[in-house]
Amino acid sequence: MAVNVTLEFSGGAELLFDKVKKHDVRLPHDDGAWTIKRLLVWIKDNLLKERPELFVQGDTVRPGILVLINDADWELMGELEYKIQSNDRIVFISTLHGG
Amino acid sequence: MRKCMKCEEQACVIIRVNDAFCRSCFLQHCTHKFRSSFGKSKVIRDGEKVLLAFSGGNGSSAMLHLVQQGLSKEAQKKLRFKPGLIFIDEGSVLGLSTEQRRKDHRYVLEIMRETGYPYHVTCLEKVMGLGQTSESPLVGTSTTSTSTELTYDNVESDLQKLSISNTAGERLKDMLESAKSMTAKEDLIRRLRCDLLAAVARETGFSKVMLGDSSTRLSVQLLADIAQGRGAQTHLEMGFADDRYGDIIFVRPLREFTSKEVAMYNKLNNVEATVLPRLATKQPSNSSIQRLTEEFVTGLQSDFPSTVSTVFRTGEKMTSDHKKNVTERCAMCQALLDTNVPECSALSATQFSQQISKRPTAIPCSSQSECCGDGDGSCQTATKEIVSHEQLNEALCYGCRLIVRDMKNTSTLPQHILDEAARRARRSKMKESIQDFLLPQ
Repeated sequence: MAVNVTLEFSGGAELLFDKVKKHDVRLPHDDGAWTIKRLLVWIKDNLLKERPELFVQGDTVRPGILVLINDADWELMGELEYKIQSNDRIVFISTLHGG
Repeated sequence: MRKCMKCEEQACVIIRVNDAFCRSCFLQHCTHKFRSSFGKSKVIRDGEKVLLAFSGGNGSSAMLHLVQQGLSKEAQKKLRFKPGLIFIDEGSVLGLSTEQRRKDHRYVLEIMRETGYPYHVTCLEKVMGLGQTSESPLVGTSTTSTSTELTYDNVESDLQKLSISNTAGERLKDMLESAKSMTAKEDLIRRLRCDLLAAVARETGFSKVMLGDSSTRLSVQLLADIAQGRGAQTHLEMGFADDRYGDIIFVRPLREFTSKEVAMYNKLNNVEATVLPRLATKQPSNSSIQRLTEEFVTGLQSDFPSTVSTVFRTGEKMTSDHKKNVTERCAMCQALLDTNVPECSALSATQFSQQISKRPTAIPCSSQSECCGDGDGSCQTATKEIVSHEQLNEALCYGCRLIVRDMKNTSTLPQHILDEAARRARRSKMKESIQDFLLPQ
């Protein structure tokens, strides 16, 4: 099943995505479920325009980037192992910039 | 799904090590923390004019929202001060074109207009001309507009008020280029930004300036400062109130909020932060000490969520042990000088090894034996004094000396700093020559 999700980037993270804050994406049909872990790899390969090391570190997000799934902290949802449902809204907020 | 630890509703965020909060309890927690920090410190009196340093970023946007909430009529434990806003355009640091800078301001200015508070705009290059009477005014100011109608014309006229001066921009660029490492550049910008904020506050009649630094940011700054020899100033940087400028006090009401709490607060209140790029944006992690420290602390924090609070609590406790007779302040950062130390100290050892290991550099000294004029005003020497390296160092604290040591050409520093150093050099020379006539104290 292909999964439709809305991705948002803010707090400075949008600078790595051509300053586009909101992306509506359609994750392609796959055998395995789409977890956040796989989503990150997908973002790195398809959306990230520059400097991947400033967004992804290893197989997780760079420390300092807050991830919210439907306005809830991803730590409450299982972090990388959360299985993405259709129409989920995943927000990446960089806390490293600005003051 | 986890439940909120206070009210058993569904939780939406985890803060501290493992405390889950629901949306309303979290927001309540934030507003309470914010307002009580004013009450606890008793630094800001009722009706006082407070300038909010607004950069458009996460921290200052959250601070602005909290202030607006706190001042509103429905607030319990209402805040009682008169706010104003200041935005500093730092586009010249990155060499952005006037077009680009105008485009970046647009969003910030709109946000400031909508608050209805009086707001001011200035640009960082204005700091190069501080204290010079011939310079144009420091800030473009709004009038306290009662209508919040946002038309295209209104915004355009606000932008006109911000006159971006080119010569000052050039001077700023020269100064930054003269600093070799990015660490020195960043530190210099930070110090000059504070100088500018204090000057703006004086000019516009505000006695307090509010900064939006979170505890994460302050912890990173603490470690980076210690690495740069500014250990003596930690209590100034970590405390709620920073009184180094004397008449203008800097306060940090967000100092107990982690950056995660700030980001979450903004998200839950739909506060849009516009992050404008700075010098360290998109730079690799080893480009400066500050950048490396940030990477270290945030990395550690993600695995050990009590890192920031531990560093912060420890830093808070450090106080400065100043000798009673030290009253001189550093010409650049305004902290008390920490270089008046006895012979057998770490500082003298460092200085000694510096002296014996460096090659003598030729600093041009423009002292002439005779005046070239005739005593009737035809003197041709430059009106700006050339300050020697030693004279400059005498007027700076250890941390600022390190910045200056990194610079190829110290005459690119803002004139007010060089003037202060020259003034002190003249004073001490004068004191020496009249020493015999002074009564001992």
